[in-house]
Amino acid sequence: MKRVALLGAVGGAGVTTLTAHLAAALAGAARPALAFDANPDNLLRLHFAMRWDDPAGFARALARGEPWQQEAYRSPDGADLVPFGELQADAELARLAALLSGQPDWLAVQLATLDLPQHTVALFDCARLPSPFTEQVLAVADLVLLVATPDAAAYAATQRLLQRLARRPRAPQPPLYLVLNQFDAAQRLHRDLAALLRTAQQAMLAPVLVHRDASVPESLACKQTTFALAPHSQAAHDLQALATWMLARLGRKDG
Amino acid sequence: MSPSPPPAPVSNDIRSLFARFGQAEDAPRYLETVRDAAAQQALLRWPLLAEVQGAAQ
Repeated sequence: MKRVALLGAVGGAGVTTLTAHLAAALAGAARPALAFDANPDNLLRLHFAMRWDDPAGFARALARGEPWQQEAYRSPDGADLVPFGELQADAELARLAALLSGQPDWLAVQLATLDLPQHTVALFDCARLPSPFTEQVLAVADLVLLVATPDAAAYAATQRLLQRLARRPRAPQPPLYLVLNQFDAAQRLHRDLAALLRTAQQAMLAPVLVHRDASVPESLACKQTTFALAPHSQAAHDLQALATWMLARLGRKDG
Repeated sequence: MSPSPPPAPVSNDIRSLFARFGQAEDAPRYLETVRDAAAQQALLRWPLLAEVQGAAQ
């Protein structure tokens, strides 16, 4: 199994959207994919047509002392989903966070017990750091995708996050790439930010930009992925290309 | 955490142009120069980006 962590430096970067669509793209190509929600916001499930009032999820099961593996769903796209789940109270979340902080290899141990098809790619929708859930994912990730929108706040926060990630004690560090999301070539700031990244962070800039496209939020509102609602849209094309690049990157032998 | 940078892609037009003048190896440097100039202009336009980039000390 290959494990991909997706995270953002600021809210609204599109981490959940990209996680869902990368999983759906892989599933659409008959590649086993597992989308895992490691964010207490518990929103990843909505991209997979799960009911809004369904409280199930791994964190909820864990908090109740039940086996979390039974909380997996198969989406209409064919991707498997492990939702975070709805917790009863903030205290429950705090208890869970303390439990995971005390067991830094909890996720590594749990993933090793899963009986998944060979070549499964697990995609983790991570909460912003600091988060014990994200720490668990970063400890096992084979690839980290840092999602950022082309705006000044995201740019500044992303630079700070990159420094923070570089200081992490894990060795060797997994490959990390920046993915520019909601790019609009008509906007000068977007073009300038892309030019800056191509110069200052060329080595870690993913070669695929995801363009801003109204079909993405519309798809979520229709409880579908963009591949299903608008298969010929720019975003569908970009997200498909990003999935293809990601698979190629995971297949490289240099880690 | 930083993978080694891939070789800069160079369009056939630019490579052919440089090859015609016997300087095919300079083609990637040409693109790099253009990219650097674009980044510099970006920093001049947006003070916050220049500050974050450490170019406005």
